[in-house]
Amino acid sequence: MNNDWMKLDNAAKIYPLVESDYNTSVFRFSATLDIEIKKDVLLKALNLVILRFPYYKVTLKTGFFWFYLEENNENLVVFEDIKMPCRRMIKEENNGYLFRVLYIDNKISIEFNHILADGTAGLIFLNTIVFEYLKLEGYDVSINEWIKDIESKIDEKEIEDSHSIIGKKYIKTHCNKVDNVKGVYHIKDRIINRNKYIITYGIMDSNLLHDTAKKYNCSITVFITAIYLENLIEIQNEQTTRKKKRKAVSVQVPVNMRKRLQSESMRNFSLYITPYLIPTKEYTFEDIIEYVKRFFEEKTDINNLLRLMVQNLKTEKSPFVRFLPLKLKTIITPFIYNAKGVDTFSGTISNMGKIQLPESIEKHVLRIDFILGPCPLTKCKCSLTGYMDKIYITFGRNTKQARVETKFFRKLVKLGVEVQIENQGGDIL
Amino acid sequence: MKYCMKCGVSIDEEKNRVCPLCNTIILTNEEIDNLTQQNIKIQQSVKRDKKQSKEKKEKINITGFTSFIVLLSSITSIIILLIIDFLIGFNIDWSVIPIMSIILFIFLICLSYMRTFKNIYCYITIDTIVLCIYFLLLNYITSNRISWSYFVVLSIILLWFYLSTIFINKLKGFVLKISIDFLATAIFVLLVSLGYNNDSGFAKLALPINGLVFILTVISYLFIKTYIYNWRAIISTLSINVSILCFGIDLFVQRYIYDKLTLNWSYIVLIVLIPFTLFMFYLDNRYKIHIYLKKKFHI
Repeated sequence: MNNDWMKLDNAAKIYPLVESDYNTSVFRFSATLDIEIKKDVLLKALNLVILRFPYYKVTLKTGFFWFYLEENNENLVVFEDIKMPCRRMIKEENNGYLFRVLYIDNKISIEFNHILADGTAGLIFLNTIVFEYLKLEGYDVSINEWIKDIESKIDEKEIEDSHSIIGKKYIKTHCNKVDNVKGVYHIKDRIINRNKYIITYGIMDSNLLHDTAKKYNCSITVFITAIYLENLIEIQNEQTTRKKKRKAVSVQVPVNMRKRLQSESMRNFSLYITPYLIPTKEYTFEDIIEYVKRFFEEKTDINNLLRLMVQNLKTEKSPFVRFLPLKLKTIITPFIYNAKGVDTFSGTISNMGKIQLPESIEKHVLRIDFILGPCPLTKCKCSLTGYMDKIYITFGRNTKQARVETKFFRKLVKLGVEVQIENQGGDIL
Repeated sequence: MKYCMKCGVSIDEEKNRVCPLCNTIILTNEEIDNLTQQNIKIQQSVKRDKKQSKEKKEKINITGFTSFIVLLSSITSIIILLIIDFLIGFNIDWSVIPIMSIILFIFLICLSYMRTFKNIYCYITIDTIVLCIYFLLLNYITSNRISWSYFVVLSIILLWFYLSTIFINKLKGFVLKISIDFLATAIFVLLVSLGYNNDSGFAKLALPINGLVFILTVISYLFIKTYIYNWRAIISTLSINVSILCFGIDLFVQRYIYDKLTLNWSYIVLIVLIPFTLFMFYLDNRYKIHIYLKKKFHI
């Protein structure tokens, strides 16, 4: 970080313009340990870890054209995890930081504002805190690629905005526009309350899910996306009886670009693909799987992703967007985001894949969860983590009825996957 | 661990008394032991009774029969009217108007009863044409020229435009539809003004009001679409827009009548709506406002 401040990365620029109590732009990772968490030790661990991640020791400031990040020298705080998960970052409450560390019983959670980083970077930060916490508790633990050594030197590449750097490289060769489906279906349910976000966890055996997906000759992500899309189609058929009124359904799936483009960035570096189904066609489950599989193969092709990256960069660099004062951007962007952003997907699935921690840590960490923040229009979001021999599928919703989750897990049970269900905070009657 | 009977998922009965997915009660071992066969039988018989009472209700389809009766009685009425009129003066005179009205009635009612067209928009279009012809003929027969019917026909056509934007599925997007409605209204007002041989009302009054309504409708629509989940924001926006509309209408009317930019009645609306909007704004942002007040005034 040069001169104590830095620009927001290309993907982050939209978040402060659209975030609200309803759309918080916050995601959460939790690690459940086999020991009870002590507040003072956790704070000590956090204070040590933050020195290795100076790019997270920042606060959001208002410029004339854009927001920017400035070094924050305020004290770090850890919170007891008793309020709604993924709630909005409030400056006054959090000393201006864009992440918060929480604890309850034997669980450490970290909530990140998307302005700061994406899931992969957030998970590395959490793992590093867990590593440091266990070390402070006197355990002999080691690191791997999912954890940063706090003694190591900070690499400049970690701070880079890979979106812009790589986008600029390919701006001339990959300038074709990438089309997206628009005006998609959103679940028609009333939002319960902006201070409530209901979390449902589905826990299943990873081998069993993997084998079931293999029966259909596809990956877990494709399999889960296909079930989600089928559910959305069914929900739409129930809610919209007139065939003519039915819209396309689509799911937003983030793609981590770090490995594909050799980036070390600890900021946002993900792109999104949105497989969709059109309402005029009749699909069997096998058809959907075949379609999603083909869609993934086609859209995750590196050239297609680069085109998407260039498109995002071009939007940011267009004179109108660039020179529109921030005050006006704040007024206009929610409308544009609604029309061009949320209107292109009916739900979100984020798969973090299998998280592998060193054996010395693995024996203390019982579980790792991932929760995506609320969205008032899609109303339901799904996230996956694989840890040890289990897969944790988490649904977050801000509606009373668990439409998607119910259909989703029932379908998995029907396909032969045994699912254990938990919800945050016990019964909701 | 117990299994939900509906979902098939396993649930820890000590943490959850109901299934987190479908709210089905999860019974503990003790409750299962206490469940008697008698209880289940009573519940089943109650369900069966309810089902039977529902099945008793039958629907009778009478639409075809009704349309036939209406058509028959209409034709009979026409014949009777013709005979009476002819017998009184040995020519067809006054009966033309009631006969025309009966024919109009047949078109409006019987066509829809007979389900001649599949699409409701076809009925609307046919009814529009029939109504226009009816009023034009009526006007011509009664006064030998087209006078008042000109305005009636214009109004019917305007209404048809409004309905077209609702029913034509090929027209996508609310903004496009509202733009067509705005244009249709502007042309309507222009033609009405020309009908009075005076277009000042169009330029000074109708067009600005129409434009204002159009802009405020588009703004309201965008707000509702974006903040559909936040009813307070929607009510605030609608309240602000209604205030602006009343304020605008009042100003335009005053300028048109007295050639002065003064307010006559809209301030009463503003007195009511501005505090209401501020209250809604407060409700929506009360947490932020409380924090701000605490910080600044130590309240």
